[in-house]
Parts: sequence; C-alpha cells; structure tokens
Amino acid sequence: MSDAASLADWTPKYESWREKALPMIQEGKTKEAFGSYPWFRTEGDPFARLDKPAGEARFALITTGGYSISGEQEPMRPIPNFGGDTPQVREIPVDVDPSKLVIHHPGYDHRFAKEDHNVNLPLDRLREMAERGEIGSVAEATHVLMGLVVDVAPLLNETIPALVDRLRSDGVDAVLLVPS
Amino acid sequence: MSLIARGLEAQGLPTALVSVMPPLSGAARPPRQLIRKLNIGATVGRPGDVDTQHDTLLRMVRLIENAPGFGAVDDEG
Repeated sequence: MSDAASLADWTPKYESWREKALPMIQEGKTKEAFGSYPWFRTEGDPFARLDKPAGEARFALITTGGYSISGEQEPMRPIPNFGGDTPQVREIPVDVDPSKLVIHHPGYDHRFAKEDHNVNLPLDRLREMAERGEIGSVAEATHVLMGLVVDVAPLLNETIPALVDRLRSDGVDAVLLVPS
Repeated sequence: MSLIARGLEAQGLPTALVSVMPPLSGAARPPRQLIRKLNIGATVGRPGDVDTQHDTLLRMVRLIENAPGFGAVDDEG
C-alpha cells in the first residue's frame, strides 16, 4: 500500500481525533490529547539507489530545527498544523551568515543549537566533507521544517512533491535528514 | 521526518535519517536510518564536537552508498 493509499484510511481517524483533541488542547490538556493521537502507519518499501559514488554526488540537508533568517524570512510559527494547512518550509542558503539564524520551535531546547548550529544544521561539516571529497558537493539550499506535523495529509500531498521539485532543480542526488 | 524520507525515495531520491528516538522514527518505516545515542536538540553531535558531527554525517553518507535495501539501519552507537 502506498503512503497516499494509507492516507485514505488514516484521514477519518485523524478527523475524529482532532474533533475531540482540539478542545482538550485549548484547555491546556495537551499531553492527554496527544495520548490518543492516531499515528500514521503505512506499508510499502520505497528505496532509491545512489547511481554514482558519494564523492561525485550532490547532497542536500533537510532539518526540522525550526530555523529562519532574521530580517529576511518570516519566522517559523511555533504551532502545529491542526487545520490542514501546509507545513512551513524555509530555505537556508549554504553560505548563510550564522549570526542571522533564529529558531522558533517549541519542541526542543535551543541551547545547543545557539552555541553551534552544526548540532542540527551541519553546514560547516558538510562543506568540509565536500572539500575532502567525501561528498561531491552541498546543495545550495537547506530546507527547514517544523517537527510536529499533526495533519500529515498536506505534508504528503503538497510539501513532499514541492521538496522533490526543488531538490531536483538544485541538482541534488541524495538527501540527509536531521530531526531536531 | 520518516514520511519525508519515504516520499523522497519513492520519487528516486536516496535518503538517510539520523534518529535519537528510534521507537518514534522507526514506526513510520524510514528506508535508511542511523541510530545514535545523542541528545534531542543536538542530533548530529554536541556543540563544538566536530569529530562526532562528522562521524554522524559520514555514516549517513555511507548508508546511502552501501545500504542493501529498504529498512537498512546503522545502530552501532
């Protein structure tokens, strides 16, 4: 079963959960509400092979660190997407000035990331790996999302296809996924 | 993040996911996963720990290069 087909089974469960959970969350009972959240389950074994050595391949990074660029991008909204809204994505250029990075993400302690963004946005390490020939190159853009995607339908139907298009346009061969 | 990995692989883009919470990430069945005993908020390595950060990324690259098939896991710590 593809992920899109699994979505048809999951959506009624999610809508039923949301109806009960939203009032609880508004009352501050967030943990209790998520105790019955219907985690998305799927089958199928998607697997793509790298068709060249890593030392010749272009690698992109996707992180759920909640980063944006101060003064240039809208900050991440630190709320989950209960209502079917499309997950937020920000593009961080590979040569970003780290002093301009800001984090708006309620799901993790930012202390480590503020000390060294490479803990979950490891652009310095990837550039060094490209210089050593361990990878061919680093994609122009890192794609940043938020971690908690409650409604996975827009993620599957809109965000992932848009990411694929953007990665292809950047000539990407493989992707490293770093959660926060 | 596992669902993003699956979606990209279904469209022909190989991926590797690093996880410090394998029960959570594994439930959604990512194609390739590196499991590390690191902190939430520092999933590549702690601040300034260049060696660990590099090791995490290099092992992810090796998974992409060498994994025999779907469900490959590097859980050597």
